[in-house]
Amino acid sequence: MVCTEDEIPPGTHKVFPIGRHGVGVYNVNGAFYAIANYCPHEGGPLCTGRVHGRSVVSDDAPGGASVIRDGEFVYCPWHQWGFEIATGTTAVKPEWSIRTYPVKVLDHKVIVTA
Amino acid sequence: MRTAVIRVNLNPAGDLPGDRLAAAVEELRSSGLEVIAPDFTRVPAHAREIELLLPGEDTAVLSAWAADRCARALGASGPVAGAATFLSRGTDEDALGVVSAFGLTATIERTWNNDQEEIVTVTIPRAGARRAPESRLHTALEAALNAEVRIVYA
Repeated sequence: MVCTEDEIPPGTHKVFPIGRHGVGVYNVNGAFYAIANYCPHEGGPLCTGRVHGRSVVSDDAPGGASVIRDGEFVYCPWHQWGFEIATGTTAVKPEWSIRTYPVKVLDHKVIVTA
Repeated sequence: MRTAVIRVNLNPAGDLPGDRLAAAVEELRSSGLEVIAPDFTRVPAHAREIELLLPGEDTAVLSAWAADRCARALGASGPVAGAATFLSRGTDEDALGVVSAFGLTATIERTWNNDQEEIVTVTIPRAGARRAPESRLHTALEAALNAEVRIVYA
């Protein structure tokens, strides 16, 4: 158990000392995910980065791009590489997979399992 | 076995209503598949992409299966599989998968130091040392394992 459910409201996260680099536990619209705090690009502290959506081409939108799935991606503060929090992956670099951990919520307790 | 993340654009033409796509996702989930899907009302019509989490290694086979399965759930042809990636749960298979993505082979050995911190030694044939920059491989492995990684060439 790392914390109680109310300590990580939707749209927020906390980093816990799990593994070599720590693990960020995120509440994404009520679903909890855990991802290693380490960017596969150059080793930046991924979980200190901003949480946002991802851009897609959209001819109808101003600037020709829209942001979709807001709050489901984390961007490394060093070089802005973005990763899907749920899977720890990016379609841009398929060879990169950030370790993710299954998360359970039991009796309002958030449990990260290895 | 590794878990692949197969991306499928359900309707690249953007001509189907969102509730039909949502019904297809529900059908996929009710059949036991793990699916990550956006709120289709908040995504441009041509970019309504979902992700299927499937056990397996062969992304070509999995992508073809996923596109076909989505077409059946949708009751229409047209779903197109996109980029495929792999989840990492920090297993040896995951580490070897990362190594293979760099075109290399390796053996994995896990040990623990006196502080009970895990150390993963990845041994790569010396002939492969020139195929991939060691620093790139090292950060990729540390991210996939969240453990100390030591690369040795033998």
